[in-house]
Amino acid sequence: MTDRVEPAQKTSRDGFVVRVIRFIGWSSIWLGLFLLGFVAHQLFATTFFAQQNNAVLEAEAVEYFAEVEITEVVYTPPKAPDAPDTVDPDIPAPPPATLSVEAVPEEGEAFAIIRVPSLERLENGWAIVEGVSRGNLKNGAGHMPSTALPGQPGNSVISGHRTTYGAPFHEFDELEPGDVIEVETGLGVHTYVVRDTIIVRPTEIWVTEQRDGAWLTLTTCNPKFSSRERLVVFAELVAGPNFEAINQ
Amino acid sequence: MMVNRMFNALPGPRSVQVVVAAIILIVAFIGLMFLYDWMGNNLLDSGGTIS
Repeated sequence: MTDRVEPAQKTSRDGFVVRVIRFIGWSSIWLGLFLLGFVAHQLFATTFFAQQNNAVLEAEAVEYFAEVEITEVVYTPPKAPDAPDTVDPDIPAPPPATLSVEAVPEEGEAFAIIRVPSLERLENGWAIVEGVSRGNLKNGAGHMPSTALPGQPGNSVISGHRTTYGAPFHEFDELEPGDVIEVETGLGVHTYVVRDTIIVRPTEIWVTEQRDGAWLTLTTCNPKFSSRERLVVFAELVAGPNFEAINQ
Repeated sequence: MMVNRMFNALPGPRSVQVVVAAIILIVAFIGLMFLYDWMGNNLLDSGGTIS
């Protein structure tokens, strides 16, 4: 005969510990799956759909170029602060310059294409839509409606994603003074040159204020994978349909 | 096993349970996408706007 050995009795304390360990294990697995899904959604899914949608928007922008209403207006640039108050009667006044102005696009409408030859992501272009709502920025870069249109006098402000939704402005930290930025609109291609890049808080609205001459201000999130700050690129118009009229 | 228990707890015959489970999954998926979108806009990349 052999002695029967009784299995060790489970104590209620052992059961509690097992349940806690099981809970922590399953929670970690679900949290990991949730975060994995989040990363996949943000980095891959949003970019995939943004690229598809932006290709459609680029085609719409090209159609817009052919259809947009363009008017010619007489343009007098604002007087420089250091210009004399009196006008010498012996010097003939320069003939008034003519500025080409296109109709303001509707909210969400693709009306321009931005290209940056020195950046891989933007060398082939990315459509710009009117408006900077969350929905507008999912598909293209967004033009702030209260600011000048690209190629017009003043300050044209355009915002874009840095890490998600195609991340058109992903490489903006590589831009340096002298780099060329081209914006195509219904008027033609406006060429800007980068003058400065700065980092500001998201509330520093002074960067969107109007300026003398014709400027392009591009804003995006900074650093990458964070919306804590804004990387701002200032570029000045150096060539294009309205360059001579603005800089007469 | 937990999924089986949850499925079996759904009301009605098998065909109704399948339809209800599909609806719950679709709603949960849409909700998850909205949550991811909200998290992405507030944590990762808000679009770079100044306001």
